[in-house]
Parts: sequence; structure tokens; C-alpha cells
Amino acid sequence: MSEVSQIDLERLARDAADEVAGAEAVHEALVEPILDSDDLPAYEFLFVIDRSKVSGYQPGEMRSKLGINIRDRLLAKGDETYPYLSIISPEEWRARALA
Amino acid sequence: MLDPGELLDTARLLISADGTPSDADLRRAVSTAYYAVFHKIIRTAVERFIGPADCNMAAYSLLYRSFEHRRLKDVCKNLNKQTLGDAYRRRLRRSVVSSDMRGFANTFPGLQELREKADYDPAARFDRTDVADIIVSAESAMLAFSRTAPDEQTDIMVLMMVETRA
Repeated sequence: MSEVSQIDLERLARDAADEVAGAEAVHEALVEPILDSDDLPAYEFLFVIDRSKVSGYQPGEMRSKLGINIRDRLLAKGDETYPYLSIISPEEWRARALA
Repeated sequence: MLDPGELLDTARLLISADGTPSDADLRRAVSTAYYAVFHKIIRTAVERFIGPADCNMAAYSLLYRSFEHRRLKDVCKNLNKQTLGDAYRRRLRRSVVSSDMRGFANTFPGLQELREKADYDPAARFDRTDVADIIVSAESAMLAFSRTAPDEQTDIMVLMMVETRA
């Protein structure tokens, strides 16, 4: 099992989000290596996405598509580390920055 | 009897109140949405192997309580692949799972992780829009699981219940 470099992870996150949500909807695509609740290595992806600019999905579908897209991209690079996703709005992102 | 659909309704209710839902409402909604999916799988499995009319049987309760969160997550992580790994290919006698099973498997680990954060991480933040999306994802996962063929469901539910040799 190989691990992807941080630079490649961030590129992967951005590429996946752009492909699934559309580049104009994606404000941020961040990723951080973490230990999950079972203390296993994992990746935490945080996406700031303006849902009003995303079309063509049923509610909840974008999250699922993005999760599968990222998992496939990681596995294609030989990285079995499991990705967990959070998707927040630009408003919530600004609120967190001020908190 | 625990009804997964009612749990999902409760999750929705927690964030639908007038005004802004409290942090506690948002956390309980995330946790409840996860448990809706968890109980959906277990109930489906127990009713498949024991039968729906026998919920008072000891075997029903014993089987119901035999499912472990961690094992379900681990199985789902291994199912969430375009092509299954060698061990899962041998166990399930198939190289891929259906798109509905993959959709379910993709959602479940993330929901479980969010439930951990909602229940135990004091620093975790949730906003209403994201929680609404999480609830919809939980519902979609339950529907996807329901749509899978009975034989595929059965194989995977057994894998979720018991540790097997490859």
C-alpha cells in the first residue's frame, strides 16, 4: 500500500470536486491525514461547495458521487487509506474562520 | 420494535424546528441518521435469517445484538471498490458488487465517523445544511441497500455478522 503525497492529495481533492460539483461551485478542497475513530490512518477531506451552483443531482447524490470518485482515485494510486468527507457551505466556512 | 424509517423521521424533525436548531439538535440528528441505517441493515438481516414474525424469539434478539459497528464499517470499506480485493473476491465469489451496494458501502463508513464526532467530539461543528444533506445521504443509503438483489444482500449480511476464513 502506498501513500499519496500531500501535494498530490490536494490536487486529487480539487480534481475530484471539480469533476463532480463543477469548478465554479468549489471554493476550497482541503485534505488532512488523520486517525479515524478506530485509530486507523484515514484522510479527512473538507470541501467548501456552493450548492446553488451545483446542478444535475438529487439531494445527497453529490456527496455519494464525490466519495466514490475520491476512493477510486486513491485506489488507482495504490492508496487504501480510507477517505472521509465533509461538505460545508461558503457561509459556514466564513463562520468557522471567524469563530 | 425499532423502526429505521421512524429514526430517519426523528432526525429530520430535529432540524426542522422553527428558528435555528441547537448544536444538540444537529448532533442528535446526525447520530440518529446513522442509527437509522445501522438498524436498517440489522433488521433486514435478522428478518432474512429468523423471519419477521418472530421478534420475541431469543434468537431474534441474539442475532440482532451480534452486529458490531466496527465490523460493518470494515466490510463496507472493503466493498467500496471498483473491483473487490482478493480476500473479498474469494469470500463473496464475485469480483464486483452492484452499484447500489457500492453506493450504500460508500456512505456507511462516513456516517459512522460523523456519528462518532456528533456523539463524542466537543470541537466538532455541524451546520443545518450539511446535516440535512447527511440525513438525505442516510436515506439514500437505506434505499440503495433495499434495492440490491436478495442474494447479494444475503452474502454481505453474513459477512457483516461473522468472521470468516478466506
